[in-house]
Amino acid sequence: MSLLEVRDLQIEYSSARGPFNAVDGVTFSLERGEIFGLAGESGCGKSTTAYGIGRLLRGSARVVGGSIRFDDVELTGLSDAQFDTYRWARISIVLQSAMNNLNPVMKVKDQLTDAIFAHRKGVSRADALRQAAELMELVDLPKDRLERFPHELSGGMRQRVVIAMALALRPELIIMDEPTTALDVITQKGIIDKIIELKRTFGFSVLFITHDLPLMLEICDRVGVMYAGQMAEIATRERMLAGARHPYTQGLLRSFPSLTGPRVRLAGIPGSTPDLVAPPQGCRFRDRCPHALSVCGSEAPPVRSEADGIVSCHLYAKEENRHEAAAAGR
Amino acid sequence: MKPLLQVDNVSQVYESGGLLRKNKMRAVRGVSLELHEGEVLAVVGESGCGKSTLARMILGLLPPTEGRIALAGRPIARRGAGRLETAKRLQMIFQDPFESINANQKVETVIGRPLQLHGAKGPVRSRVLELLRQVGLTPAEDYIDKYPSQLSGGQKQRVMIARALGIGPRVLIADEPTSMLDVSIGIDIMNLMLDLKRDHDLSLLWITHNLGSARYMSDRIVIMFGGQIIESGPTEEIIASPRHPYTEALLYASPDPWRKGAEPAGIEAADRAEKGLPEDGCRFRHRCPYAQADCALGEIPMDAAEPQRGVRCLYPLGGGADSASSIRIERKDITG
Repeated sequence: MSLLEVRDLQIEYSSARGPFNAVDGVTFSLERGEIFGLAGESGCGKSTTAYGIGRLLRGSARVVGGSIRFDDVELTGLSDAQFDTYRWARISIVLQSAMNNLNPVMKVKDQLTDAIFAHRKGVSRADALRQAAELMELVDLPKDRLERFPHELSGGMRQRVVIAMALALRPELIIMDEPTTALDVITQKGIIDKIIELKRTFGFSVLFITHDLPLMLEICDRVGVMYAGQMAEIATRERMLAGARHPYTQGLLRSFPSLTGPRVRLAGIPGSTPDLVAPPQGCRFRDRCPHALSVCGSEAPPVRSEADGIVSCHLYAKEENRHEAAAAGR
Repeated sequence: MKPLLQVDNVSQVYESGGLLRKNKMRAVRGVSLELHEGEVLAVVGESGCGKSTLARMILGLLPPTEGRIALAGRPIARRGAGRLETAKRLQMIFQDPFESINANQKVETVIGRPLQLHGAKGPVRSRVLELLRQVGLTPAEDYIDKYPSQLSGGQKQRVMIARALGIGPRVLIADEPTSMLDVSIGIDIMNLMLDLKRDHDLSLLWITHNLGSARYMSDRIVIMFGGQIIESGPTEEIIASPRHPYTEALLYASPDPWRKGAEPAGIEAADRAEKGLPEDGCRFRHRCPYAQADCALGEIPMDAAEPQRGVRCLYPLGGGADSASSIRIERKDITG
C-alpha cells in the first residue's frame, strides 16, 4: 500500500471571470521512503496540489473532488481538528521562503520546541530543548544558533532550521515546495545533499515541488510533470534521463541550457498555457505541441501505463497515431 | 583591437553608520574587464558578489569610488549632456519586467517615449510597430495599444528589450533577465537576445548567477566572488576546466543530472558560509577545500600565465601545467 494516494483530485479557485479548476483530475501515488517530484511551470497546479494535500489552501481555493488517502485514511473527509493531529506529526511542510515558515520574533529554540510541545503532551522543557539541540545537529547547524532570531541567520541556515522543524516529530511525509529556489546554488547543493542523507536515515517520503527539472532529476526517484492543471506524465528518474515520453516534458527538458554535452541552440516551447476558465477541448497542450494530431483537438488524451511510468498523450494511445505523426514528417 | 567597454580597476565602497563609527563595505574591489565589439561577456556570481553593483556603475547610475569606466574610449557620463549620450550607447534590461515597466503606459508609450527623448520628431508609431516585430511580438498591431497588465511576463520582457533597442545602443547590459520567467519562455528570450546581438551588431554584458545560461549566451566568462573577479577566460575553457576552486564548486553545485563522473573531493566545504568573508588574503579561503596557510597573506594577484585566462588563486587547479596538478594532489593529502 502506498503512503499517499491521490485520485482524480480537483481543486477549484474562483476568479472574476468565473470558477476554474487549478488542479483538474490529478492522480499519483507516493511510496514509503520515496522522493516524488512534481514539476511544471507557473500556474500548472503543482503547488496547489501540494497545498491541497497539506491543507494549506488559501483564499477561494478548495478541494471539490477526488480523494487523498494517507496511510489508508481518507484525508478529504477529516475535520480541521482531526487533520491537526496529522500536521507536523505525520505530514510536515517546507516552503520556498524560510521567512514564511519562521516567526520573525521568536528565537530558533522556541520555534523548534513549539512544534514539540504542541504535539507531545507532557514533554518537559529540558527534554524539548535537548530534542531541539539534536535537531540542530541533524541539519549541521551549530547549537549556539538556537539562541538566534531568524534574521540573524543566512538564507541557507534558515532553510536548515525549517527542515529541522519539519523533522521534529519524525513525520512520514514532508512536502517541500521549492525549498531551495531562493538560495545560491552552492547553498542549494548542501541542503539537497542533507535532505537525501536525512531521508536515508529516517525513511520519510518527500513530495518535492520545483520548476527546476534538472535539480528534480538529481534528487527524485520518480517525477510527475503537470501541465494546465493535469498530469501529463509520470516517470522514473531513469526513464526521464533516457528520454521523456510526453512532448511537453521533452520541450521542458530542452529548455535548460546544459553544462555538459554539446553547445546547441535550444528551442523552448512556443506559445503560452491555455486559459483555465475555458480550457480547450481535447489535449490542453495541443496548440504548443510539435506532434499534434487531428484527434488531439477533440478527445482528451487517454492515460497509458507502462512499467516505468504513465503518459497522457494520444501519441501513445494507438499504434496508428504514431504512424500519423511520423507520416506528417515530424 | 580597442575594447568597446573598458572597466579599469573599479571599486565601490558603501558606507553606513553614524558620525563616530562608520562601517565600510567594499562591494566591488578593483574590477577590470573589457567588452569587445560583437562579444557576449557573462559576469557570473552568487548573490552579494558585487555583480549588480558593477552593472549600476557601468550604467552611470552609481559613481565608482575608485577606477574608471570608458565606453568607446570616452568616460561614462553621469549627468549633463553626456548622460543622454551614454544612455544612447548603453542600455539595460532588468531582471523583473513586472517592476521595470510603467503599468500606466500603453506599449506604444513605453517604447515610443525614449525615442522622442532621444530626438525623434513627429509620430513614432510606425517605428514602435517595427520594433515590436523585431522582438517577435507579432502581429505588432495587436500589441501596440495594450497595457502591461494585458501581457505575460515573457511579452513584457520583449517590450523592455524593444524599448532598449529603439535608441540604437551599442551595448546591452542584461541583469538576470530570464530569472523571473518560466524556463521555456526564458530560453526564447535568450535566443531573441542572441539574434538581436547578431543582427544589430551589439555587444552584450550578460549578468547571471546561472552558469548554464552563461555558457549558453557568452563567448567569455568572468566569475565574481566577494567583489572581485576571481577567474576569467573563454566560456568553454572555463566550463571544461575551471582553475579557481570557487568556480569548480559553482560548476559542480549546478544541477545537471546528465553529468558524468564523480564530483571533486571536498566540494561540500564551499557551503560553509557562517564564518563570513575575510578582508585580506583570498576571500574564498574559509570555504576552500584546498586552502593553505599562505592563502591568508596579502592580496592575491590575478595570475594570467595562460593566454586569455586569469585566475586569482595561489594554487590553481589542474589543467595543463604538471606543477599545478601535482600541487593539487599534494594539497588533497594535507587536507585529508
